Amino acid sequence: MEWVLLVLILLAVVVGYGWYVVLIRNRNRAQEALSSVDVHLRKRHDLVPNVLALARRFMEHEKELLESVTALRSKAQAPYDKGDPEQVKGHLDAERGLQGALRQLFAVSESYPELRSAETMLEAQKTYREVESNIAAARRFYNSAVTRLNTAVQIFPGSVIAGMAGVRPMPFFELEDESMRQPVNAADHI
Amino acid sequence: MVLSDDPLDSATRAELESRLAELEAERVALFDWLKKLGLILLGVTLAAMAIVSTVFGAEEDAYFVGIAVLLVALVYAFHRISKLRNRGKAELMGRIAQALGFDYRLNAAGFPLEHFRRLGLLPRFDRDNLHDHLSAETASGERLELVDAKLERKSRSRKRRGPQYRTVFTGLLLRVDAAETFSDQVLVLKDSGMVGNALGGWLRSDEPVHLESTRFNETFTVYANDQVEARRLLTPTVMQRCLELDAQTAGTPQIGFSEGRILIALDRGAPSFEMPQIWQKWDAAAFEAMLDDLRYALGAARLLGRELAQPEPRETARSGSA
Repeated sequence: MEWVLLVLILLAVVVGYGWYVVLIRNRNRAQEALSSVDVHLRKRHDLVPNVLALARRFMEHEKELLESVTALRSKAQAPYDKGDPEQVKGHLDAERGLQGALRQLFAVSESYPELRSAETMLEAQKTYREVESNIAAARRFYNSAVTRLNTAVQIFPGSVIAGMAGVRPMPFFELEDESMRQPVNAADHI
Repeated sequence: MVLSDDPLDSATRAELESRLAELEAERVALFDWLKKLGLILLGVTLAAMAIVSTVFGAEEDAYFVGIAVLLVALVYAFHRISKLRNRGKAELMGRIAQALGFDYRLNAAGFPLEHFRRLGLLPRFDRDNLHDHLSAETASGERLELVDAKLERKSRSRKRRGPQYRTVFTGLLLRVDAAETFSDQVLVLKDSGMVGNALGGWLRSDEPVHLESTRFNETFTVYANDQVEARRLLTPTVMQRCLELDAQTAGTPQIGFSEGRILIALDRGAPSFEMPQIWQKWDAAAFEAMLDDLRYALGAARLLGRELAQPEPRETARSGSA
């Protein structure tokens, strides 16, 4: 009887340790993915001053929009703790806001023919598309890593071990807004 | 350029049909001649066997003479048939390739297989036979090369002396010199199941990439040394196209992004761009089949957003319009 108990305890320890290893590995993976997202987001941040400097010359009536882009950039650049899911969520929300504002800025710039045809603006739009494509790829990597982490954290006995080890689920990096998830109606664009 | 249902203009089609009619006449003549030759040889051989057997009393030697004559006749017939088929193929493929903006040569020796081999896109092989080298420029100025490959592996048999060769791959190899540079290496390989992947991935320096599509992950295993780069290249659209290509291919397509090149190995289980057999009629179906093979190959290039540049207008068309 004692032997059975001992084997069961040993088994529980082995499983517990294995799960702990998986949790820590997945958390590190998610943080590594978050760092790679940040690398590409930084490129987006670096793009903003050039676009704003150019936009200010032509878009005098869009002062509010330009100021909001500046404010959102500052907010997105604020330092945060990668280990704190709340702070990570705040950081990703700020980035979503900046992305939305930049999209709006480029959309509005279409109404300014001089700005639209300015070579620097064309160059900036091209770079913006490349940066966004890299961010999308990094976002997929991050979300994949977060899915693994959250699954390991939420399934029993992961929830217990994660609680003891201080590993918490991390937020997903969602798309900018709900409208981007909707299916596109081709008829609207023809 | 995407190959439409009828990518050949009427002049090219008429030219091909006329040339094919000439080749068909040659085929019929050769086939008839071979049949006659076969009958004559059969008669002569039987007579020779009878003489050797009855006059010289050597029955075993008679069989030997018969078999030897039969073998020589078969080798000669095969040589004549393959010569005509290769000539027909070279002429038709050359004309089709020219019309579609490709450079074509029958012999594809020198096509760099080493890169494919190094990335593990091909099964282990000891002997290769490459032909039908097609090359063209894509719309974005990249060089696209395509060959039909037959790869064989050496094996030993207890029953037969000397090395035997077993075919391990029959299909197309595509190589695109990509304009964009890949900072890292991404491989899309056939999924080998949980155990196979674990064993195969054990000694790799790159790491597996788990993508969002379950169906894609069940069909392919992706290895990369940069997870973000892998996802940048394998967008949901590309993943969908990979699955479509897999559905059209006998073996699972193997794709590599490496050193500024895109490499695709497509095991079709049968050679491409072939003329029909000598006993089949050589009509328009012959070049339609070649066009189908080209459509398939360009479909594989389109997988990664590579379209061919529009071909230059033909000389005859230019002089005609002038």
